[in-house]
Amino acid sequence: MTQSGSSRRPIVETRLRPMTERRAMFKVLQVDLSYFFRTKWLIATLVALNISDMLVAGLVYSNMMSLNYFYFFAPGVIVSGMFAAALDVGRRVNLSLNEGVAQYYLSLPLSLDGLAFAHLLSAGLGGTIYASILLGVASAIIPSLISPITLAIIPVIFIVSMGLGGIAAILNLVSKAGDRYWVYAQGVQMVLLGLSTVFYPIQMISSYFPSDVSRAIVLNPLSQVADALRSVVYSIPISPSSIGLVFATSILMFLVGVACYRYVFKKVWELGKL
Amino acid sequence: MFRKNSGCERYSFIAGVARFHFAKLILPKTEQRFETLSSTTDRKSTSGTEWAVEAIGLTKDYGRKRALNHLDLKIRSNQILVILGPNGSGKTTFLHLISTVLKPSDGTALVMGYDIRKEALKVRQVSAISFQDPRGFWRHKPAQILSFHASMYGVGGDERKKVVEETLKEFELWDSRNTKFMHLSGGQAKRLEVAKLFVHKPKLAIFDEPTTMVDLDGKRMIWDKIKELKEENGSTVIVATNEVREAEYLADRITILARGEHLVTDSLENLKDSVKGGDIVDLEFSLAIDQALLRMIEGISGTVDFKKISENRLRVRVSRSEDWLPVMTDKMHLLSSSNRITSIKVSEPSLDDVFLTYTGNDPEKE
Repeated sequence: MTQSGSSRRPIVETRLRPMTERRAMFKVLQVDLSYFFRTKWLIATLVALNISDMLVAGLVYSNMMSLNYFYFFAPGVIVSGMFAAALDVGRRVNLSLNEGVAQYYLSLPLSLDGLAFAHLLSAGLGGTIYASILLGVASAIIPSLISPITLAIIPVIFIVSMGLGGIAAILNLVSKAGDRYWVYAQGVQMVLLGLSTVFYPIQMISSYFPSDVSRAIVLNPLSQVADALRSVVYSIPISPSSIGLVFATSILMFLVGVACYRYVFKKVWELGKL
Repeated sequence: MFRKNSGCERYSFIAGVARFHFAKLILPKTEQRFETLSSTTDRKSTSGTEWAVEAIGLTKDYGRKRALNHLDLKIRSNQILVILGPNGSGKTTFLHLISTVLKPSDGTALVMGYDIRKEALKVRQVSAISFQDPRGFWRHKPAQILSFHASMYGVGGDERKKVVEETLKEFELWDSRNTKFMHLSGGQAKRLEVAKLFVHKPKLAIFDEPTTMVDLDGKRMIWDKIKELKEENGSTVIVATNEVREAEYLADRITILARGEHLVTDSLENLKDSVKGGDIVDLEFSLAIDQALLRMIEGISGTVDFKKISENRLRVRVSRSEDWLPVMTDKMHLLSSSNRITSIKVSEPSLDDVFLTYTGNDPEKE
């Protein structure tokens, strides 16, 4: 047994210095993000699914069909990977609510806004890092992806991922603590990925849906990011208006996400639970 | 030398009667309610260093259930206050409120002069809580959890690394430093939860049942560390517990809560004295006890009841033996009898008795 008084430490001034809100936020972001990459089984499943989709399904279908389907398919896989990684913040917040870590956060020198921002920034970074890995894999097969424009799309991916974090926040708010989050997340994934141009071209989708729904599908931020990546793949100029639209939608979702997380943590503060 | 000792019985011959008179003078009366804040001026004047925590009408409702009912409590700086209470008495709610983990339904509290409602961030900078159920990131290792906690309070760089290593060793977690939190045993997780507060040593350290699930050696180590926190760092420490031994070892003062109400706050000594008939005085006489002696004993103020154990032995229940004994010995001298006291044995009430008196519950069974 270690003797409690064996190594006495002087009181260091730094321990008494209050930490700035920004640094505290960064620390929470760091922990939250690392939690995603520490969930090895989840990462392994995601990577295996995405890479096999991209390299197996995409290449096989390319050879079966008489068009270069892989060029169309790979950006879709990158976007779906980004979607899963960004939305995972909701799972982590759900766990923190179930395991009482949310209350631990509330005892730390960090405001409710700081906590909400940290989680959404973590969603942004998670989506960006994960999509960048898939982008790297795709670039090995699609040479046109090795371009400065691809790098310019990365900030767009970051903003969209933060917006997706906002969706996760809404799901956290609606599902409260417990296991319902997973059901809602799967439902949202089905709707947002299904009603998008991530895996199907708009020409095909519009033949199945009314024009209003087709227009909404084109405006879906996931469609916008997938189409922007395809523009790089096919060396077509990206429409600034579509990028502007993606930014506007994502920032709106991000702000909604901040409000939702703020509400979630405020409820935990007021009631001890969500 | 006459000695009064808690939990055990000590024999001695009467030789220090004056000690009781002295004790009577210096021991304050039990405070049935702590000082109530009467005005804003009072609040401001006490928000400096004297009081670490001032709860003012602190109330918490969970739906229709009231967990804490207009609690007024002041906790002096640089003291260890132990909060005892049965389950559902509001101990944890109180700790969560003053550490800003919960929002009060009514009333407020000042922590180091900062209002928990309006200045929560400042409260969080000067205080920290060790939760009853360990709260950690499941996939992180103890060193990473402590490092995160330290960094949140501005302990940086090499200093953080050093402090984390020392703390892990002190809390016997060094060998488990590479084990994920979710794989730690209950006792290890609890040690880690307590250890968090020792990487930055807050001015107000709050511990909710710090030694549950911890083995006996570990309990003693944690108690010593908590005492060290007060003595070497000058921290104010609040400990909520159901364990009487823990309270007796740690407490400068004890607060008893029940059903969300503040029943009493005082030193252990005064609380024991406040138990009516709690002191048992066993007297042995040189000769047989006669009626005159019994009438004399009955007539002394503070005598609750008495029983003849044998021809020359008497057991008397009194409220405060230190007040009662000098009076009794004085009166013995006045009795025209050759009967003399040959032995006095005083047994004090235990903290269990105190707890039972105030709450009607046995803390250890909670």
